Amino acid sequence: MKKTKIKTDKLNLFYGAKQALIDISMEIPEKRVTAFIGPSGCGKSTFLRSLNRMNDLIPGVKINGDVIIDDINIYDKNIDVVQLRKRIGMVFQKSNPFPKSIYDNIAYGPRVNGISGKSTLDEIVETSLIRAAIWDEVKDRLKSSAMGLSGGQQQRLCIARALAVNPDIILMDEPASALDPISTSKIEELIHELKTDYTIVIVTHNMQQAARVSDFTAFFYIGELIEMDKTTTIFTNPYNKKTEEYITGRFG
Amino acid sequence: MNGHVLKNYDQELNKLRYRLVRMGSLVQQQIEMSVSSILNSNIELAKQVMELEEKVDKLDLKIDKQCIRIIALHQPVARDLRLILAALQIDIYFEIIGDYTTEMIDDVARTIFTSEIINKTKIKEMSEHVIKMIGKVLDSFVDENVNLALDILKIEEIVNILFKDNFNNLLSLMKADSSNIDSYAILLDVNRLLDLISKSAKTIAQELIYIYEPSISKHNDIEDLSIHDIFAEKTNE
Amino acid sequence: MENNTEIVEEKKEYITHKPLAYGKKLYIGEFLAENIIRLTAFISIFTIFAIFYYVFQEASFAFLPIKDKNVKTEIISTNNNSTETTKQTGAEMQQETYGSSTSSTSEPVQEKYGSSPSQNEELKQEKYGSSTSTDELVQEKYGSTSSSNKTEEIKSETYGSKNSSTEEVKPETYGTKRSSTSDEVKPETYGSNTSTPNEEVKPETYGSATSSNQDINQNNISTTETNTEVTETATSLEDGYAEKPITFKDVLLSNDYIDSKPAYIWQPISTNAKFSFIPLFVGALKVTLIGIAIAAPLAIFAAIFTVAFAPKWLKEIIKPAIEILAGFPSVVIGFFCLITLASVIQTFFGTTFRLNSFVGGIGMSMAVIPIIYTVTEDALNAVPTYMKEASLALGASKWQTAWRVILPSALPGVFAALILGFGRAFGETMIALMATGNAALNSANIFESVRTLAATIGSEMAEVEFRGVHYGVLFLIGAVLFIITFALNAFAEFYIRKKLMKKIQGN
Repeated sequence: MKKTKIKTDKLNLFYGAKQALIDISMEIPEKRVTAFIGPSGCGKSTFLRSLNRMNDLIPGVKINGDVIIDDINIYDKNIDVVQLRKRIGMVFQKSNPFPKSIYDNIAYGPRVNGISGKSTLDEIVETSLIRAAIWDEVKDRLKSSAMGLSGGQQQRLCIARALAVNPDIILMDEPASALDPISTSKIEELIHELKTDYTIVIVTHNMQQAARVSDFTAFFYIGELIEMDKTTTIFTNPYNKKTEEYITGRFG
Repeated sequence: MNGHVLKNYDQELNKLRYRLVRMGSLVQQQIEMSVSSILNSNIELAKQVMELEEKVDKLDLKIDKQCIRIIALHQPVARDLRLILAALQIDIYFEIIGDYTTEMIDDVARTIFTSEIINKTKIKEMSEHVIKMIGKVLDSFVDENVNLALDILKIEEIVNILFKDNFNNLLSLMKADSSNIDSYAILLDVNRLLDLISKSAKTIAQELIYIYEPSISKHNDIEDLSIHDIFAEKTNE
Repeated sequence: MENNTEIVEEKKEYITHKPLAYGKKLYIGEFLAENIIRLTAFISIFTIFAIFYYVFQEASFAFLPIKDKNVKTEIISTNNNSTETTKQTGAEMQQETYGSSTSSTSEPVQEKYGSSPSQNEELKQEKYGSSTSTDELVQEKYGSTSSSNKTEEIKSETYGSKNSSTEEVKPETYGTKRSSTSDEVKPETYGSNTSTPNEEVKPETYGSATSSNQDINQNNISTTETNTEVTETATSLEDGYAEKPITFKDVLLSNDYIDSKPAYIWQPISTNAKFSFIPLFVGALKVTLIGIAIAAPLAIFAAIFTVAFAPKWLKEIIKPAIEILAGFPSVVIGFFCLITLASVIQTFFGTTFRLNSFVGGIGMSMAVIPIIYTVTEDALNAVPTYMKEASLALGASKWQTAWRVILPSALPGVFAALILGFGRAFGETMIALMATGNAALNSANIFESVRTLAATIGSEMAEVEFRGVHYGVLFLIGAVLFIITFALNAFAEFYIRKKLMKKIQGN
């Protein structure tokens, strides 16, 4: 069995007075795809964003409990959030390339990390794009705007951009929810390829997608972690009745 | 358990259930009629069994189609998926049982049994048990009741004992009374078929158990490690 | 299936439809609303074109001045009557509000907006008019006094100039002037007059009239008359009165020589009026650029701060505060610059001119900061949150995010803000009028007084002859302001949007 990459211990999160996450204890294995499923508002996205402290940006959020990545508690006072986020790539629901050229989009991460040599940047851009399986489609127009790409290409570009800063962990927040089936398949194929090198956590509303891409699945319901297990088990023989009701479409 | 949010999905599944129950009840009827036909040498009943067989075959096709339809349109998972898979299996076994019953009435015109001969064996008792098994299969399926399915397994054991008794009994009778050896041979055949039917019913019962309580395995000899335990082991490391 | 049919039967028809048929129904309310909106839109477009038309049409009088004898003679006759009566009552000549009358003998000479100096006399023209008489010193409300005798010292008032033919004139705060009988008179900043008999009169900035014995030039504003004859104003070219229509050459090219170098002079009230737009344009550009140079960084950085860094409570203070500044009347800002800021700047930099383009620029920046800030802040706020999150998730700091993502994404909005601010500053009249010194100097020094295009219209429009050359020229300035605004917008649209943004944001 792979070792644990991310471990949370009794994580509670409050939006003001409202508790959004209740005592979440979970272990996310290294170099595996872990999917979070659950109805809207169940806290899965919130939990995902608390793994790279993106929730800090929202005013009025209080967090207690531990999130331990590689034996380090990221909610410790001495943690530099910027350094932390460099190690954790994130891909968002809406493809969000910057209004810059494709090259500048990929080079953005390395640049803010202080890399400025052109040859180094060229290399990073190329390897990232190849890794994200979009190199062949964009290699002839690296200087053109990233906004001109199709939705699926933009999303893969965003993945390439995340890869360019060489993270250990990639968090994906519904990465294919706005894409057509073919683009979705490409993203899923990409996730399959990436899991050999990265720990991937993916939030999805599409249960079939969770079933297709993930090794482990966690089911959230109203801020609580109901069940986490191997994906095969969750989708054939879940332990918890609530999970079964959800995945078979009996409530939503 | 609640119904699906998508009512159409529920309707499709209910249609499948209805057809399976209907097929089961037809098969139950078949067993009843074929046994009674062979024991009473009733050719009329035998004809009715053949008619029922046609209906069963048609239902078999319908159930197959319905299962494929549900898989294609609704991508069932978990319980629903297991229902479909079980339905496909049950469907096959019901069809086989139907075939057994037609096989049973092949020799209906050959001999006429006296009640004396029949009473010497426990064929009737055995047939009642088998019919009861099919009935329980249907009840268990409709009520989603695992206990009824577990009952079937117990009845199967009884039937198995009866089969062996009958077999030994008939063998000794054949040795003793060679004038009626034809009748005894046919009864031996009926005995074998009834036993096969009960074994099919047992398999169906196992399928039902798989649907409703997946943790109980079909094949007890293979040790099934729960996947929950595997994950728990991993986290304890 | 049976259930379904029952449900269909139970369905109640709350809305009944007419059977489908051809024929449209007229919805009066919608029809009216749509047409009223359309009308409003067309009216606004029409208004803009009407104003354009008006301005360009009026500007045409600079090239083709109208000489309507009937109107003018009427005015003159009434004026003559009134002055005659005054003459009868007293020896002193009465003054008029916007004009001055000068009489050397018993004959009063009236002009509409100008003054008529008498023969052998020096005419002093002030901003609000002056009057001169042969033996009496006439004090005017806003004017200056001038004496007819060359030996007498001419006293000046706040906005006036001191001029003496015999004495050396010392520079004053609001302008320089020198006049001497024998020297060449240099252009003056503001409200000065010079008289140099027998010499060619050097152009003056504003409101000057010259007369000499030998060479009498008349234009529509200032006329000179002789003792013996009373001429009607603005009438005939054959009288020596020349209302010379201007050409584009006059306003754009050099129209004078100073130290044998080509010079650009704005001197509308003169026997030899000079209408070069160059000093005004330079002045406006100086003030505007100084204003933008001060306002743009401040406003943009303030906007970045409020959007990217400020906590919520601070945001709620900063934003309304800057927006209140936008509501400040520009006259108050001008007042502040005139009274307080100018002194502070002078003490600080030790400038020669108390009011200069730097003071004006600071005043302008006060007017422009809220505009640039508000538009920029809106543009920055409109940058989607997911863009910021994407940057932060890549390990960029807040500052890197603001500088490399938020600002480039909002760049079209920021440029729009700058252009709005530029337009406002370029057209701003009151601050320029009050704080820049209003001297049409053609200089690159930011600590010298300037006069802007808009301030020129503001200050001179009240004193020009209706549909005369000067009048037309002022409208031409208005047209120039229009054209500059258009050019700026076109530049923004075609260069910044199409080319520059592509460079920054990729093709």
